[in-house]
Amino acid sequence: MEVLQLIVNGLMAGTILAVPAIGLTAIFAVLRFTNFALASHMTIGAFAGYVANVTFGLPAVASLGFAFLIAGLIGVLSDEIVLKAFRRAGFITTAIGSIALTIALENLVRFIFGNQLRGYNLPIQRDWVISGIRISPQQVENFVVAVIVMAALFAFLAFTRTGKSMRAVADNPMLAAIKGINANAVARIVSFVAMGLAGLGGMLIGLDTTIDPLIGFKTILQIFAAAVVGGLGSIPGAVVGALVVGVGEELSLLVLTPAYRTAVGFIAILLVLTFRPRGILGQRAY
Amino acid sequence: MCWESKTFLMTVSGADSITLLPHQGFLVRTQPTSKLQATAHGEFILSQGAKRVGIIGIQAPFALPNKEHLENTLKPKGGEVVSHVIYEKDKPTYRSEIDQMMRGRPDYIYTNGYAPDTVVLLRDMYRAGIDLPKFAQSYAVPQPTLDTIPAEVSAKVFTGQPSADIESPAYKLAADRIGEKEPDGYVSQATDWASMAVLTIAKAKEVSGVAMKDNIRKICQGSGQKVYSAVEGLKVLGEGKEINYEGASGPCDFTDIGDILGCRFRYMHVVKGKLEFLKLV
Repeated sequence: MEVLQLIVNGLMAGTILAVPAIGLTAIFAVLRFTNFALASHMTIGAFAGYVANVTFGLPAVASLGFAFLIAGLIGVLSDEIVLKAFRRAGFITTAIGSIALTIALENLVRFIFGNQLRGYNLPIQRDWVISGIRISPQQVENFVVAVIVMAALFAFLAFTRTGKSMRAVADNPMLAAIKGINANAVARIVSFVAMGLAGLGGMLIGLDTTIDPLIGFKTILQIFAAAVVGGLGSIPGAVVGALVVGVGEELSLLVLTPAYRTAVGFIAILLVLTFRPRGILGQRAY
Repeated sequence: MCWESKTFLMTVSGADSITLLPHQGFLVRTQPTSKLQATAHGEFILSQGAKRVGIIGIQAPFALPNKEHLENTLKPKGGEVVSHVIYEKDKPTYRSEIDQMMRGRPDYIYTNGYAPDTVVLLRDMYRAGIDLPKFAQSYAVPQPTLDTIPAEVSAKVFTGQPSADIESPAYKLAADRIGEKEPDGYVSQATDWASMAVLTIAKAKEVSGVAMKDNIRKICQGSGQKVYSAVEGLKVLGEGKEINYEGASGPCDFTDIGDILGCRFRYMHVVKGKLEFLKLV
């Protein structure tokens, strides 16, 4: 029963992690660098959702849309204004630039909202107990939202012309350019969708807890671990990686004290990079 | 670093290990040690009728010392620590950690973290249907933090903090000087540092870390005339007399390694989401 409870907890946590992890891996697939500014966009999304929910009184689901939109728009702007110039200097420089960007944006949020913890305007509910397994209604709602968003994204990538363009650029940028696909436009769409997902993920985490300017920074390592384990550049891989990290962290409690939880993500990265450098579902080892 | 650079340090940290470092006298603290705090907390918990205490706390230098001191306080009076879980900070949920802690079947929960993680703990405990009384450090659940969570989540939460000596003349003088009606323990400690620094410099007639180290105990303990502010102390020192500074946070008497000898503790409880004064011990 204990193992089952840990697996359920891990699946819930992993599903939420998967949303921003998809964003991280999508940017890597198309723009070929790891965008650590995802952390600050999670924070921006969480606070945009807070404004929508608490200041404007919108329900949580509508506020999630607001979180996606604002984080996505700022993602496009920050990429155009800051990171685009870095990309000419190579992926390592751009990744480092994204760390600087995330610190700047996080501090901007801190400047506007302050450091204190904030909570969404949501009633709190007791867990449901099903056959001895406890599940939080809020976690189930978050799980459902995350699954719907991921399904919508997969449908977008599989069935729309824009989605196919994104996949084409990710798969072979040169061939995509020969076919007339506008790489700049695709880059903007990827930035919008990926950072929108980051914002959504930030708010989903906040719905279950509280938010502060460090909400993205606190989870970026887990998200990075999820993307690497699943295979950087593979969107299904990000989902699998997030579930592996989420469930792995929980199951580690059977043998480790909770103080070593984060080590699980790093151990997973180490193992994957040693035995399968391209990740569980990655096509290539970049 | 402080002894290597000969910089005198006054601090608010409570971890036992701080003053056990080889600081060579360049450090004093006005915050009670983990031992003083955990002993006081243990006595408070016993006074509430608890026998089986479950501890869930953040990974920090004070985690294990706190548990040991709490255990040492509870045991002689029939209490015990039935579970102890140390968790990692910055996690969005502590559901599994709480489950581990509850396996000891506690009748009282001692949380030992900071505000962001304690809020997550309280929410997760409420969701799990745990309605036991819970103790938290006062800095982990200040009123602004309580305002972020529904009132039912913070029901049966008790907090404790090293208290300023609110009946002392130094506290009243500090309150007037700062312009706050009730400065908390940390503000009181900070004002004491300023007063002690000024008085030590006046006593030593020198501004240096070494002079501070050699003279601080000459102005804040001993048989000199009791003074309650830097202004009063400077006047008495000017008359060539010895002084004993009594601070807003407490007597400011230090052991050889720089720990304070004792202080008072203030306990609050949360009623409908608001902190209310319970007692001063």
